[in-house]
Amino acid sequence: MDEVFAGFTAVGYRQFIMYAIGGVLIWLAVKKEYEPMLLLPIGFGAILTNLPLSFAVGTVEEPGFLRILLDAGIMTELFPILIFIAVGAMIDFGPLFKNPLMIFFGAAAQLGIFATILLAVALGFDLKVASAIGIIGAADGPTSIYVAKRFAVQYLGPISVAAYSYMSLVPIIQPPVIRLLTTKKERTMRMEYREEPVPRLLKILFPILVTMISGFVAPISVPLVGSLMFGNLIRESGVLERLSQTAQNELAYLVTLLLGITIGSTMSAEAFLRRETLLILGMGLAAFVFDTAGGVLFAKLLNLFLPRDRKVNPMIGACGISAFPMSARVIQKMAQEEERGNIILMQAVGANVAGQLGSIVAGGMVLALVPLLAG
Amino acid sequence: MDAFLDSLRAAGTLGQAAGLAAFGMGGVFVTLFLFFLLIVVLERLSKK
Repeated sequence: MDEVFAGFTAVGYRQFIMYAIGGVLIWLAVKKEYEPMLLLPIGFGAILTNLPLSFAVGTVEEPGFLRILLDAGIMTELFPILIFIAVGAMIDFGPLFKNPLMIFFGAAAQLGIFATILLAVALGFDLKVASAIGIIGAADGPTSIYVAKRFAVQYLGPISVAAYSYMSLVPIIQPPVIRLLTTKKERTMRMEYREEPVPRLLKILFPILVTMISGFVAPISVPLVGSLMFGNLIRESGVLERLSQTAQNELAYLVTLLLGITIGSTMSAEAFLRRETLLILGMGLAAFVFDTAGGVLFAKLLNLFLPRDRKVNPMIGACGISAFPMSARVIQKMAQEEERGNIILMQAVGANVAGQLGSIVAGGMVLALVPLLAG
Repeated sequence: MDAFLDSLRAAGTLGQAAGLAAFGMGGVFVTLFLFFLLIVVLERLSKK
């Protein structure tokens, strides 16, 4: 008779808290439209995995479909790699080629990763876990998942939720930090933009040579950089339009769908409801704030050395985070609010795609250096 | 280089994190500087 009521007897208050958290994620996706393609599957996955006896997850001997997806897609690192191919096919590096100086904002805005690693270590996490937490500052979901799987698989759920949630909250996180660090005069600075065609040779050789350079500098970063650049080469080759469209649409949607629900499956009450989860969520927010500050302050530093007619609006620096194209849109909106008719969108997009490069290079650096330092 | 890494390993977790931050940020800037040079050189070559 007990077996008939097993579903009721096997559930506790912690599971109900997880249903509420799953519900909040679904509400954020549906009502607020914050990263709905990920937060909705993650929220539903969190509910599924916390149902009594959790047959959707199953056991090691008799795995359910969520465990099979986790083993096949996350533990093998396949899902993040496939997402990178899709993202690469979506990225147009044209605005960066027209203003290559923007690439340095993609480096400066990775400050949040390393500042947060220091913060996490100061709070008592070991270097590997701290690195996985810091990588939330990459503002790049697949990179966060990739590094977390390597260094802190036990925190995969909170790290992924933090990464995707804060990416969707960029319009709320970045503006106050930017206003705090810049003057009105700086925010109204105008920047000249010349519309010139980008040579096709540059578009085709760039992804190939970037992959090779990354392979020499940090070989461990090649799966990340290589898959992103493979997608971009398909796009820019001009002869694989159908493959490019498939990568941008079918591949991206299918993998995103499976990735979200699989991440949700890591949010069991035992794994998620602990003090560390709150710390990770707090440090993830700090990472985005440090990223924004790093980009803006670097732009102000750069302006000290640039000639008067080439100075940059320091808000552009904040676009060096990888949240694409959200950050560029936010900065353009701010520029318009500060002064009507101030168009800095293309420079912002240039810095934003540089942020994509910067985040995977930073992820590669972390993957390469942490084992050397921590053993 | 090995001696420097050994000294970082011996410096405790905070020292290791500081080393990671310094090397990591430096590595990101150097790599993206190489990408910057690549764009400039390829653009010049493409226009020839």
